[in-house]
Amino acid sequence: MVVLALLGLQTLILAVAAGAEGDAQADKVSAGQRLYREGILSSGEAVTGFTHGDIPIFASQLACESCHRRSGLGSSEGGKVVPPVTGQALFQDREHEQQAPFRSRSMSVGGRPAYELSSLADALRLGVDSGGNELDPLMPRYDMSDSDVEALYAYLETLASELPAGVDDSKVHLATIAAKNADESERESMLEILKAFAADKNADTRNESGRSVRGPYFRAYMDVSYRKWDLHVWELEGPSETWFEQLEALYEEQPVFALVSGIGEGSWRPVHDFCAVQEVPCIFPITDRPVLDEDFYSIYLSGGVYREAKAVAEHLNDKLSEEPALVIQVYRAGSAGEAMAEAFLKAAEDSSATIEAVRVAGSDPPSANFWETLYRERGPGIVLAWLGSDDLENLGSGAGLGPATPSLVILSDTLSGDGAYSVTGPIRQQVRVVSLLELPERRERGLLRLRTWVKPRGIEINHPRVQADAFLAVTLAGSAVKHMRRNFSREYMIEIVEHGLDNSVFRSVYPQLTLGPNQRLASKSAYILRPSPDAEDGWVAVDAASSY
Amino acid sequence: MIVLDTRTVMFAFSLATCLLLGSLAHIAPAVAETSGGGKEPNYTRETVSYRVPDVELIAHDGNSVSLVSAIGGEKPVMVNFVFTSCTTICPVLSASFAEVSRRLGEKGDSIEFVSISIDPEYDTQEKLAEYAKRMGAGESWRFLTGNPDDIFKVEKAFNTYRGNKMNHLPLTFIKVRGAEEWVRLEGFPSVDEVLAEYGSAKNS
Ligand code: HEC
Repeated sequence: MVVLALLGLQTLILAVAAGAEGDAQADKVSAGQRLYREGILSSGEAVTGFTHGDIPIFASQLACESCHRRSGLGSSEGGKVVPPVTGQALFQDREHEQQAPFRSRSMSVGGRPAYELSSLADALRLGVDSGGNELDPLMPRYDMSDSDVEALYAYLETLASELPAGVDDSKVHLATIAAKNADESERESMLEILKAFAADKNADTRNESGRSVRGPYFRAYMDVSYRKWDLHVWELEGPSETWFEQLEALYEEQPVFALVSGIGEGSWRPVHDFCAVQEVPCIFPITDRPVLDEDFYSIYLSGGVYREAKAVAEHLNDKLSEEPALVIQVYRAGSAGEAMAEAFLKAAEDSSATIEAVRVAGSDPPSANFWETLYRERGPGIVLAWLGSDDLENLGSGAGLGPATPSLVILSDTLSGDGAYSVTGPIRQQVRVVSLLELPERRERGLLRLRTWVKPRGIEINHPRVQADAFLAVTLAGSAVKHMRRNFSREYMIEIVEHGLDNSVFRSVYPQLTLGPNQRLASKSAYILRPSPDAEDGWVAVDAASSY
Repeated sequence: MIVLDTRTVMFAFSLATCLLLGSLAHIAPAVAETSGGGKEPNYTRETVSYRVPDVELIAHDGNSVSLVSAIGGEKPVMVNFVFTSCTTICPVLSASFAEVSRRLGEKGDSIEFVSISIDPEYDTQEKLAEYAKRMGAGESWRFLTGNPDDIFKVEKAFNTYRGNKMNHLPLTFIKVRGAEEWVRLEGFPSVDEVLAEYGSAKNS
């Protein structure tokens, strides 16, 4: 609800700021935005048209945004390049570009005069550009009223029309979140990576600022696009529920172009909402509790406890329908374990199993007696222990439980880390671990690139996952900022990350990372592991769920 | 206020892709160049045999489907490869299937339509069901997803795999009743052109 209310506010601000005569203009812009993004005409009807001559299209199939993208800066897919339609691109003359690096009709850059209202109407309805040339048939010919063309004109004028907040003539301001409630050593490790990367950028070791002089296509432009990075560390205090206001205050003091990586305990919701409201790209924070609603501005590496809970529910699917199935979830109130328990309940909603909750109280790890009593009283059910590593200390006790031995004990790699794999005693054979990470034996290979990078910089790898995630976030953000060139647009940055991730050789600690337009979760896989029957301390995958 | 240069804008995206990719080869248009005025054809055509892999996939209605029985038999069928979050290419391919299936359906033709997701990790059955609705799919049109390894086999078998879903090509495959071979169209044929290709394959 928070998001909805605040998003509403934004539209409001747009309208209020405009003043009396501006009202009409603001209405046009928002009608244009609706048409651009959703394909809805001012009449409320869906826009219709034809692509490739006789292929009818309607709004739910494709709006302008599906091709020209939210940024308006266009796209390229499967060899098809869709040009930018921002105000700057359309409403000024375009000279014929001899040195186009790519040649095909839809990419060629023939000269044409600046668009006016009437020539824009011709482009949209007849497929003729402002110079009288026929447009590639992929660009639909639309059925559109004058007022709809006017609305689009007004909206396109606003697209990427000025430098977004957080970018000035010499700098691009970025921030990362280093919440005080995160593990201090992990927080420092993350910051070390991010700062080292920013320092490299600013030392301009790759000579990005000068490259244009030699490059054939960007002769004069690059020098003005290069900017130093100003990396702000936002140290949030207190529990995550209080972060939203802190973020707003920090942003007011120093607007930033994007948030990169970030770490903190608790639900990531306040950061997610902040990014949605301020329209700030939030690239790959390190969190166990992401918000998976696919809002445009936040992109996550993994689904954290939510993805794990779902994988467990899928894994148990058959067992849950056996009679009588009993599942006991053990967690601490207010912890990430509780969030996981709730997510599991939801994922197993349709099963007939009895799912009980046992909340751990006190600050000490549950005692041997706690576990034995639990096993004996509840019988041979399935125990899901959503606890931190320390809390698992006595889990393995209870030798000679006989028929009371739980049929399965499921632990979470996200919550318990290495602790999940070090349970001893007779229970060990019953343990299954859910993990979103690549199998341990393959993980090291994935980290090689990071190791090579940190070595000359004198950085120790002491929290591989945190450091690898931070490195991935900052390198992707880095290439995105670089490749935007002078088109500083927050939406464009996200679009480049969406597009670029699949080509990234480095994939941190995950089995696979992929994104697509508007996808917001990069690693979708999950493993269920069990103790290897051969090796003393090895683990093998019993289940590899690969869709989320 | 900064003055954006349109020429730079024009190439920035593709360049970004290329550089991230580390190679120009992947992005260079493999599609026959499209014509401006629709005078030259917007697609190329080949006739090819494919061995349909023996895999079980999941349809958007939740049913499990043997690919061989869905598209490997005698029945006439049209196949394309899409993914639900795809921009530009897939919506156009899907809009084309929607219209071609509507037109053939009206004529009482029994041909079936199959769209195979090349992004199975993201395209769950639910995602496909939603997509089918959004594209206005009728009864004769199924969307399939499945295990990534199986999908990979299918992409390989139909020579559609281009390493990365973002580089995928606009392809339409047509098989008429009893045919051994597929007509492979690469590019964006119009509805009339697809119907003509289907018609001439039937008569050959
Ligand atoms: C199916 C993809 C697609 C959709 C949907 C689409 N376009 Fe386009 N558009 C293109 C392509 C491709 C071109 C380039 C044509 C060419 O170069 O000949 C283009 C060109 C244009 C141009 C001319 C640009 C120039 O520099 O001359 C304008 C203006 C434009 N589109 C606006 C829109 C608007 C507004 C919408 C929505 C109402 C829209 N487009 C929807 C693909 C699309």
